[in-house]
Amino acid sequence: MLFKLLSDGPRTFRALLAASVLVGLQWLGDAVVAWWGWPVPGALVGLLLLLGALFAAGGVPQALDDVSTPLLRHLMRLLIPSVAAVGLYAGLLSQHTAAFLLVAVVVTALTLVVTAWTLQRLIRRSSR
Amino acid sequence: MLWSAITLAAYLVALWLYRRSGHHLLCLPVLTGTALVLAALALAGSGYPVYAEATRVLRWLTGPGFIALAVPLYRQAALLRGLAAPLLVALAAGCLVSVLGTLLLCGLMGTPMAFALSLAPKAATMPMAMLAAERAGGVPAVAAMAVVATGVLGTWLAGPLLRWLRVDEGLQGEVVSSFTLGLVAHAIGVARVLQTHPGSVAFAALAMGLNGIASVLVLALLSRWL
Repeated sequence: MLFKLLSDGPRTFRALLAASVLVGLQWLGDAVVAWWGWPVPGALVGLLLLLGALFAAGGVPQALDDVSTPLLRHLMRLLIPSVAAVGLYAGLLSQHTAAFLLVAVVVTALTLVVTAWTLQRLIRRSSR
Repeated sequence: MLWSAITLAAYLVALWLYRRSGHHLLCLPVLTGTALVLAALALAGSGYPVYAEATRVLRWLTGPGFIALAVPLYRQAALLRGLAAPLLVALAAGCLVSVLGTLLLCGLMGTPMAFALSLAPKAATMPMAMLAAERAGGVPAVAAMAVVATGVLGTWLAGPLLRWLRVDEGLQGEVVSSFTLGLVAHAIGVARVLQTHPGSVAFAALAMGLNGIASVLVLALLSRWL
């Protein structure tokens, strides 16, 4: 029903509807998480619900595409206010610079090697 | 309102700088934009709490923005057909090594748990890593710094390490290196794949999306025990 409205109604109406679907999913996700006391963030529940709905519908309604494309392109702008909080943690970061750098180098290299090695082995085995 | 407008202005300047620098890794709009905002805050003599309160709407919008990530992920999920098992096992291995390796190394170095939990989702894309860190009891802003460091280092280290592993140049090798870069170095890795192997960039984007979700889930479950 909702998916039909998202692809058939007037253009502005469809865009508004698609935007409210995203907002509604955020609220729904938060409500689900609060209700069952899950440790995951509400937005993740919202994302998985939307993913499930897209699989069920078998396609992305044009209106949802119109709304999500600019939102995703400028997601980084929305993050700036949260990243700016780093000013509050300059002390914490400088106190643990060594751990920060060591983790960044060692764990990143290890993750690269494990991921590539696993995938390479499995693909070779499955294509034989 | 004023601070939201200043954030927008800082972002536009940052985007311009990023283009002028030829998309240099260290000129990411989110970094230079944040630096400009911090400079403006210092000039105005306002504290972060004032700014945080003024930009509440912007911060709230990251939720719906995060949910919109389902759209590209749905499109890339078609790639799982035929390769689902290898890709998902590699995802699980990479995600666990990254999260557990970070927590273990931080534990060995005696860093506080809140700091370790902020670094743990560092391979995930920034919105996902920040969400994961916040939910697990870490600091989202520190997670953002770790994400950038991991993206830059992962992209630099990928070349020599993949050669050392003899990931070849054929079609399979391309899938392996693209998926690995997307998993380890999120958007920065995807941007690199777009330059080097544009044909398989969807695998990098798929890995980025899947590892973001996996990192949030793993960290959420782990934080219950820690």
